[in-house]
Amino acid sequence: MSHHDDDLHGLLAEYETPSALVAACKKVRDAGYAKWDTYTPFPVHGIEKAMGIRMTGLPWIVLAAALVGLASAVGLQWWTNAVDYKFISSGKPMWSIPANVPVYFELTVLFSAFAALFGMLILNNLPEPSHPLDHLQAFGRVTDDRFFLYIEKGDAKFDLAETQRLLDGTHPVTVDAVNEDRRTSDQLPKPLVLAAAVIAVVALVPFAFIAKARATKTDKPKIHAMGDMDWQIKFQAQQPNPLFSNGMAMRAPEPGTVAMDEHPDDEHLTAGKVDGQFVRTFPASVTIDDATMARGRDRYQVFCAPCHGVSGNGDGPVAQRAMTLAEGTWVPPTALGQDYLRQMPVGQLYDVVNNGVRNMPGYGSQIPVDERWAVVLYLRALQKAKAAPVGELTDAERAALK
Amino acid sequence: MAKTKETAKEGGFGDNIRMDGLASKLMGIAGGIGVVGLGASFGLGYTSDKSQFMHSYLTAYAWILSIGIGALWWVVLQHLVNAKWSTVVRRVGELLASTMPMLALLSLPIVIPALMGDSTLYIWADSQKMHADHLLHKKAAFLNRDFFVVRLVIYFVFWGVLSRYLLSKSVEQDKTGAPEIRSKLQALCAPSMILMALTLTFAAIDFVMTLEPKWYSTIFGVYYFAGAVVSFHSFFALALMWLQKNGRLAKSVTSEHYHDIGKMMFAFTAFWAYIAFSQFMLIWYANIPEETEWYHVRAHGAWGTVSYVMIAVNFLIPFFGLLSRHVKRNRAALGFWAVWILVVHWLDMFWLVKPHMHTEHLPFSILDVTCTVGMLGMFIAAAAFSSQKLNLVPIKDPRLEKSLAFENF
Amino acid sequence: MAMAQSPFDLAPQGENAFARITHNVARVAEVPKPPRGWYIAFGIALSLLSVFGVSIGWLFWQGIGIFGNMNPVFWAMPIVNFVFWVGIGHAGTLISAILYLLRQNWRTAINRFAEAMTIFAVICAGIFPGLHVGRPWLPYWMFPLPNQMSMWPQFRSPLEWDVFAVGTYFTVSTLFWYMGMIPDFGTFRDRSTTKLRKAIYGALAMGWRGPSRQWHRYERAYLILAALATPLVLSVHSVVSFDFATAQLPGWHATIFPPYFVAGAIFGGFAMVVTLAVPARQFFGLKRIITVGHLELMAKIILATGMMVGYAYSMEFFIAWYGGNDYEMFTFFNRALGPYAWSYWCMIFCNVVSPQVFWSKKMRTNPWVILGVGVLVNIGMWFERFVIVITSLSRDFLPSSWGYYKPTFWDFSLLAGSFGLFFTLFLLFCRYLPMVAMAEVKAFHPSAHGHGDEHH
Repeated sequence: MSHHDDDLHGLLAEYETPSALVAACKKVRDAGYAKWDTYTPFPVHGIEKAMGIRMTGLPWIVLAAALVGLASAVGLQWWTNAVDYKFISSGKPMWSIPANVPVYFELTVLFSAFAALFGMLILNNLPEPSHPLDHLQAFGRVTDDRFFLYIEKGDAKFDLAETQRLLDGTHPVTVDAVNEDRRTSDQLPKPLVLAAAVIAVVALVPFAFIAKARATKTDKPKIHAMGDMDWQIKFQAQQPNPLFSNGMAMRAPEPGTVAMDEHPDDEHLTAGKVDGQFVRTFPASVTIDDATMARGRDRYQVFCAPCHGVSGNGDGPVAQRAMTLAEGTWVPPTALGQDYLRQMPVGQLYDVVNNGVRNMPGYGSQIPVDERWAVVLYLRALQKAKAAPVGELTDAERAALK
Repeated sequence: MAKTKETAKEGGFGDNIRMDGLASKLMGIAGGIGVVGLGASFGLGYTSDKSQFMHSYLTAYAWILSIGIGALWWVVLQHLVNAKWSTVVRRVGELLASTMPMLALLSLPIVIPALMGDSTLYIWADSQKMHADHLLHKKAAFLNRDFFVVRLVIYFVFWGVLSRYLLSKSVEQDKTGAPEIRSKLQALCAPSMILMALTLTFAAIDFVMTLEPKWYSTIFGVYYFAGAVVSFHSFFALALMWLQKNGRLAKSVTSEHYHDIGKMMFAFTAFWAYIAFSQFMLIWYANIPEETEWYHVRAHGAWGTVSYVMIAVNFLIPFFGLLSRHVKRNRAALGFWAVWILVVHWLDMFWLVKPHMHTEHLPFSILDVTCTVGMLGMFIAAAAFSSQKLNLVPIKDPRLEKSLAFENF
Repeated sequence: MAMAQSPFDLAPQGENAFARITHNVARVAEVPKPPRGWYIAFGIALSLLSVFGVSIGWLFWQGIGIFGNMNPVFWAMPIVNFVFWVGIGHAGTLISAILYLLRQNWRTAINRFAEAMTIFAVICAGIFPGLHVGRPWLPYWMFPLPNQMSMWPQFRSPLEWDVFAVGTYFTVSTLFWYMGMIPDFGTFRDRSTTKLRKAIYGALAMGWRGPSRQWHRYERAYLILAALATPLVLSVHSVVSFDFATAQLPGWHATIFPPYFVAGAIFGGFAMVVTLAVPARQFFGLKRIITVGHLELMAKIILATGMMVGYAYSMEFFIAWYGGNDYEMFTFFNRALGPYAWSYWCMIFCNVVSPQVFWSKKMRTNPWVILGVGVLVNIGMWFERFVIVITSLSRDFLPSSWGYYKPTFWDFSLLAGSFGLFFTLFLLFCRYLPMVAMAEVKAFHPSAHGHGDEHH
């Protein structure tokens, strides 16, 4: 094969068997070459030693990635479940390490696996689209059944005649001179660049939509992807239903039905009345103590305070919001400290909690009997606190007020 | 390597593979330590605290038994999968497995009190206490003295006969060189492996799990098995190192074999952690009272500290310690981790057994040391006893050549 | 490697063994027309795939009311199918990774398509939870993505662990699979006769030319991936088992579930490998690469893992009695004798009884017997998940809430359709990708020794 010296890239020797190649490697290694490699269809056992290849640092890269993966898993679960979005699940602590171990493990493995593959590719300088050897027809068998040894011209010890002699002495099938690759363009193919650009632009579209959705408001109702989940074929409360004689979907309880916490015999307790008159005393079964008061306060703050306000001035957040909206139909909640309410029998207050009054709905279905009375008790305490004369306060309380 | 190969072919063996005087010397020293250790234990135990003695004894016994069963399991496995790498070291494993009669003997101080109705360890040994408790009463068909003894007899007869048979067939091959012995033993080891799994599981349940007869865990047998395998391999590595130090097997056993043993130590350290975590996490998560109680004791106070320490010493530290291939191939480093694993596996047994004695503090005593050292001595003496007049290598096993030339990739 | 019983004795031999291996494997993807059997199989697979498409379409249109799921059995066939497919997906990585670490070189003949099978099975598995949640437009809620509602996934839930475990498993299996194929893509590229093939296989090979300095790092990376994949395989089915075992339901809460599920997965996965391998070697003329010796070894593994599964069944029964819990005892009594006893005994017959024929050497060297047992084990493993999910849910604590679950047509059509997806992908793989790891088979061939003493 004739060639111009400038064009030479290296010398390639071809062998039939792996053992011939290994034997050749030892000679080339001992001759002190550095820029050379062997090409084989499969990893040849023992060739690392014969070529003097040092152990790769890949395991360390993987170990580092594993630690990063583990740290990410710890951080992710800690931040999301113990800090940013806390809620109780199956009575477990917010930050439940035993329950987090599976994800610790998975992310550690995931990061390590990526590091192993991509670390290998990067250390191997892959992808490597072209190589001067590609233009040699014989070299096509490197991925099939032939074994090659290639010494680059760039090696400090390379000398055409000397190197040729060395290779000839290793019993190769042939030794070929390999030329510089002047045919393959350094540029990426144009269609490839174009396709990549198009894909890159298209990939931005979903993000553009997300950005738009975050920045704009819409009046349109949400999309109902599955209509029959949102509008189920069933009767709902207050709807007509021709199946029943009274035409209503809701059914009244059978006559004489008693709820579990009702005591039909004790009108004082359940209705706040005795002989049709509102009672002025608490029922005997309601104990007037700190525990009842605390429960009443708790229930008041859940059920009453949204409208009536924490201190009963009729200025709860719902009322305030309604005022700012200035809707004409809004009836403001009653301030609970007013005189007529202070004079009202406890039985009537109980009745209001139970059945509602004017625009206020009844809370009987949401609050058990005992707790309704506890709310009334707390209401009484609120009223008393609002109208307490200075003389009834202790010295400490007076000081605190100043 | 090539030289060894040739001599092996000629019928001789280019290495010292006979115990000769070393066996009786080892028997004397180890047996002496065993007798002194156990004697001291019995003396201290019966003069002071019976409960302490019984629990310390059971801790040590669960530990030594796991090494013995681990050895037998390993030998059965090598035959079953027709392993080649291990042929050169298999005889040493067979010798360690041949200690079954000694292990049966050592179980007597646990079995005899139970048989006499002493409920220091096992509440079920006392039939009155069993019948007084509704839940335990239901289990009386399994948890009773007679059936316990029947089961133990089955385990030890099976283990004893199997280990003896495997050893004798292997020794027979040393003389006759009959190659069909290999396939015969392979066929035998398939059903034996099934019986190994069952006997090991139920032995673990009988000796350890029934300490708390209301507690149960389907994975318990696997847990004990994981510990048995990791501690056997550690003991095995140390035994080989000791033999090589004394000039036996010096050329035949190479870094390659240690590398494989180290891999097993590493893999089963991780496997133990997997099983331990699975058992703990599932019980912790479901939070069913009769199961959780067992962990509740071990999660609080002094035992809680032990549990946390175990996460580190039984898993994290040896895991990273054994990760590198250089460690597995370096005798000193591997020996260090082998000792480490044997110690932490003992701690595991302590953690399984001792909370039954004291739920508040750690009942550690000098008895733990004397019992453990005593049993270790007896175990080694029993193995040394079997090793007299035998080759330490199955010299005519057809796989020996591969084992000698074996290399890890 | 030249042991008397080595399966490689039947592998291509002779002066140019490497070229023959290349030829045998590459030919399958290079012939202009695949064998007729391939077309028939592909036709069946495509029809089943269209059944899958129609079923999913109808499901999305109608909602999950078309399932038979009804009080008290709300986890039913979609979960059974999910666990079934995930289980199938275990043998591939097991063969690639664990057998690699155990130096079982015979794996090279089957590892590639076992890996492919893994990936396709995990794809099938991943679809079912997606269908079962009934909100197919919200699957992204399962991932920890920053969102306007500031809501994060619930990491204390085993179902969330599943997302990570199955996701990681799929990713790592795919990486492992692809990495294994890089050298073989190089072979395909170098043998390409058309520009298109050269471009596609060339891009996939990423310029692999087999330099030893690259092989060295490649082998190290392969070893690391195998070492990572091994515990990963164990973790995936363990996590799946946690879905059940963390609950307090009798029959679900057993501490042995993690290793028991893993053993069952390996068992079922190997059964699927032989189910695919026996016809594949027949159709594609790979009998000299996937030999009877290989099939026999797989039969032995099926027998061994079948015994492990049997061990777990018996431990569950024993502890159900030993634990003294009436509900637990009843559940197991109910499994064996209750209304679903047929499924239980079907499972026992297929999983524990049928592999016992492998004790006979004659049986485990007959490919058609192996195929038959493989199919039975697949059925049995499906029933195992059916037994666990359905019997436990249908009769739990309160007799007043007991029920009897009946799958509907759509439950079955989705199951059948998933097989269509699986086989379609698999047949495409057989046609276009290197079905056997050529480089690895060559590396373990007797004439691959580089030490110079080939004839020892």
